[in-house]
Amino acid sequence: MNKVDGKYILKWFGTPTAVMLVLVIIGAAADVALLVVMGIMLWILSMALLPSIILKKQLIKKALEQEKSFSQKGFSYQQKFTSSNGIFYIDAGGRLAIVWKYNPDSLYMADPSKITDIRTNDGKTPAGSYGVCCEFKLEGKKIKIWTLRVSNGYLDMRNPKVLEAISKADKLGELLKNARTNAGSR
Amino acid sequence: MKKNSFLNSPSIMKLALQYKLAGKPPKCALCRSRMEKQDRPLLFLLPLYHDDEYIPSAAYYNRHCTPIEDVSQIPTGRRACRLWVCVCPSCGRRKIAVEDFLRVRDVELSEKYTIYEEAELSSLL
Ligand SMILES: [Zn+2]
Repeated sequence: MNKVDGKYILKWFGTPTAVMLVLVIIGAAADVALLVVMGIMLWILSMALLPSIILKKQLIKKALEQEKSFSQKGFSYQQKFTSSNGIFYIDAGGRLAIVWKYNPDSLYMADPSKITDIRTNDGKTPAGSYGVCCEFKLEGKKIKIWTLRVSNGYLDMRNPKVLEAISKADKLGELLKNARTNAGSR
Repeated sequence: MKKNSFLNSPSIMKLALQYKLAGKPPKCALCRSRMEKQDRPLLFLLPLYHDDEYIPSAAYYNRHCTPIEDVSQIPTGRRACRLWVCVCPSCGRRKIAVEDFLRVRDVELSEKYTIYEEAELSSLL
């Protein structure tokens, strides 16, 4: 399971890092503090924007491209879940396919029998929920599919958004459990 | 500023609306008295999941309601609705109240609450 493609990371994170290094080196050599500060600021900005905006858009785009070839692979999904770390598809036969955010050029076909510890995490704290996800382990690695992320602060546990997100996570957990059962009986 | 954005968030509006209507029966158009909900509402499954959107109408409910006996028959994430016959205590005029909800574990999240003439939904009664 390759969740991360090194080349892909290098392609997106390498350019801003190289630009930053060039600016910092030139700035230091020429004793221009502004260049050094600009280089570092640009780098921080791109590191912040890349995962949340640009790579998220890339993931959606690449996943749509992959979906076109699903039928050739004999895979027709019934459910699709978009999470912060990837897009998850579950087909009628209970198979699970994943397009990972940091490795969107390949399609990972997971073996549902290797899914364990499925549960809904409602993100409950005394202040409310910070987010809701369906958690499970795939080949021993913990994976979270977020159905709600509260960007700043907390939402009341009875807030409709929280309740809907809990229901979505429960549903997803149910689908994964079914997939695991189907895989076991094949 | 922060307070405004909090109040303007759709979930808060939804919550407020939910509390405001909270399944109240309508007022009678003739004598202005508050109608009374009859016991034992009817329960139906809707072909919707979670926050799926639709425009509620008598035609929609007539077409898509599947009767069930109990909330335990609602699959996870599936929307359901309750149908109440409301009767005016003064003149006996009747209306139907429909409440669409999402059941999350033991909590019910009211999604839409609408009122119809009895004749419009008679096929479901
Ligand atoms: Zn009346």
